[in-house]
Amino acid sequence: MSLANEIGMIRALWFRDLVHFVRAPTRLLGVVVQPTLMWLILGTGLRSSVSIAGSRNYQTYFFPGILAMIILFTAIFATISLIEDRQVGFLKAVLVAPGSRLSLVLGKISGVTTVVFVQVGLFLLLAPFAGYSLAKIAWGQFTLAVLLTTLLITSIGVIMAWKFDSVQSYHAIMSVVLVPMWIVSGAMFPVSGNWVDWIIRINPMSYAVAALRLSLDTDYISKLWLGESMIFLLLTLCSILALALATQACQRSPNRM
Amino acid sequence: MLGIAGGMMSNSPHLEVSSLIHRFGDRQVLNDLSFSLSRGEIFGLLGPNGSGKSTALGIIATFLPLQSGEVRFDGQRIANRLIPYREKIGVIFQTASLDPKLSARENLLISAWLRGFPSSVATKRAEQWLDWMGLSDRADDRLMTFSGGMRRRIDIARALLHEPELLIMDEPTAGIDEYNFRDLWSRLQRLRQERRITIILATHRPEEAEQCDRLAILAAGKPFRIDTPNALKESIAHDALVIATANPTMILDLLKSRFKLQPLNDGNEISVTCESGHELIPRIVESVPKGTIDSIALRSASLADVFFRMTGQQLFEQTTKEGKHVARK
Repeated sequence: MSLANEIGMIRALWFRDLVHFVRAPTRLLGVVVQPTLMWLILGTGLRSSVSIAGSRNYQTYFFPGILAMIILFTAIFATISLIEDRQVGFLKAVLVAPGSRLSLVLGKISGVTTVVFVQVGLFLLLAPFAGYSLAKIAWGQFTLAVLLTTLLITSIGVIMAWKFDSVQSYHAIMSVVLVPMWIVSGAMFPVSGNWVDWIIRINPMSYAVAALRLSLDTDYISKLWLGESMIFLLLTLCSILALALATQACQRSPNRM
Repeated sequence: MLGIAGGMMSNSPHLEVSSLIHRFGDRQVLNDLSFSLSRGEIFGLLGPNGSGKSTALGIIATFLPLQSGEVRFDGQRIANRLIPYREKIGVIFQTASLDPKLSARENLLISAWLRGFPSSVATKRAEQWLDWMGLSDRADDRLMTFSGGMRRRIDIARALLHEPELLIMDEPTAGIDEYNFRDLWSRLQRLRQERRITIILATHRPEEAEQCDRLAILAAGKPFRIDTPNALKESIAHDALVIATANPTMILDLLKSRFKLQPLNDGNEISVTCESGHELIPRIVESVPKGTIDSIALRSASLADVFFRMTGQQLFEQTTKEGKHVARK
C-alpha cells in the first residue's frame, strides 16, 4: 500500500465532487432554500402540536434537526450517483486504480463533507432567528458533530449504493429507511415517554441529532439517558463502524465489465 | 535464441491466462479459456456479443473476481500482488470512464492523482498526453461538448497516462467512425513500437482484429483457435460468395453435391468460401432456373468469414431483408 496512491484517490474523488458542486449553482440554491422553507413552514405548522420542555419554542427545537436533514440529503445525492458511476462511468477506472477501497469511501466522504460545511455554514446564518446565539455555540463540538454525522450518513449511503444495482431500489430504501431514520431521530420531536422512544434510542442518527443539538444549545438536556460525552462517544463508534462496513461493502465486484 | 537478458525475458510470457472459468449465476460465460501474451504483443479476443470476451478482460483487469483459473503477470499470480499489478495496467472500458461534466484536463488530472503522482508531475502528464492525443486546444472544454471519437481519445490518454506495461481495452473503437478508428490505431501502433507496451483487446470489428499480432477466435467462452490474422485467413479459402435466394435448399444442395463446397445457410443468404469465385459465379448461375438467385456477391474472405467458418456464428448482428434487427446464431 502506498500512501501516494491513497492520498491521490481521496484527492481525485474530492476534487470531482467539488467541481460538480461549484458548477451547479442551482443545486447550491436548492440545498439552502429547501431546508429553510421546511424549517419555516413545518416549524410554524407544528409549533402548537409538539410540546417542548423549557422555554424553547418548536422552531428552536427543529433547527438542529434541519441541519441533520441537510447532511442526510447531501449524502444521499452524492452516493446515489455511485450506482451508475460504477456500472457505466467514471468509477470503473477508480476501481482498477491502485488505491484501496477505504480511500475510495474516504474520498467520497471528503467531497460530501466539504459540500456539507458550505451548506451548514450558510444555514447557520439563520441560527439567530431560531433563537441560538452564534456567540454561545460550542464551535469545536459543533464541527466535530457535523463531521461525525457526515461520516455516518455518507457511509450508510455508500453501503446502500453498493448493495443495489439500480437507482430505483436506492430511492425505495431512501424513503423506507433513510428518511424515516431521520424522522425518528429526535429531529422532529423529542423523546416523550412512549414506545417510539425505543426506536429513537437504537437509531444511530439520534446520536447525530443529539450531538448537533447539544453543540448549538449547551444548556439542553438530552433525554437519550446519556450525557454529552457518551453521546459523542456513541456517535463516533457508530460512524467508525459504518465506515468499516462501507469499505467492506465496496469489495463487492460489479456484475459485469 | 538471443543470449542477452532482453531476449531471455521475452521468452517467458508477459501475461499468462490459464483455465479461466466464470459463471454469472447459472450461466457459464467462460469455459476453460487459456492463452498467453509475450511482451510488446497486441492480442485480440475476437467474438460476438456474449462470447465472454468482456468477462475475460474484466478478470484480467481485476475488475471482476477470479472464480476459477489463474492469471499471471511476469510469472506472478496477480491475486497475490494486486496493487503492484494495478500500477502496471491501464484499462479502457466499453463505456468511457470519464466525467463529462469535467474538462479534458481535469479528467486527466484526476487520472494522474489516482495513480499517486504529485501535483507537478500530474500537471505535466496531463499536458503531455493531451498533446499526444492532439487535443491540447480543447484541454479546458468540458467533455460533454466532445464528439465520441475525441472522448475516446481522452479515455485512452487517461488509461495510458501512467505509462502502463499492459493495456487492456474492451471494444475500444465501438461507435467510432473510420477516421478516428485509423487515427487511434496509428497512435497505438506507434506507442507499441516506442515503448513495447503489451495490448490485449476485445473486439468484434474485423478491421480491428487485423491490427492484432495474434487473435483468439472466441465463441461461448471458449477459444476455437489462436493464430495470426493472416494464418487464420489462409486457413480458409481466398474468396467469399454471398448468395441471396428465395430457394436456399436448392442452392445449398447444388453447392454441396456438385461443387463440393461447404456452404453456410444464414436465413435467406447463403455464404460460401471458395478459391476462385469469379469462375464459380457463372457456373452457379447457369446451373439453376432463372430467377432462383436474387443476387450474388464476391469479395475477399475476411476475418468475419473466418469466424463464421470456424464457429458457425456471425460476428455481429445483421439486418435481415425484412429490415428486422436480429442476432444470428
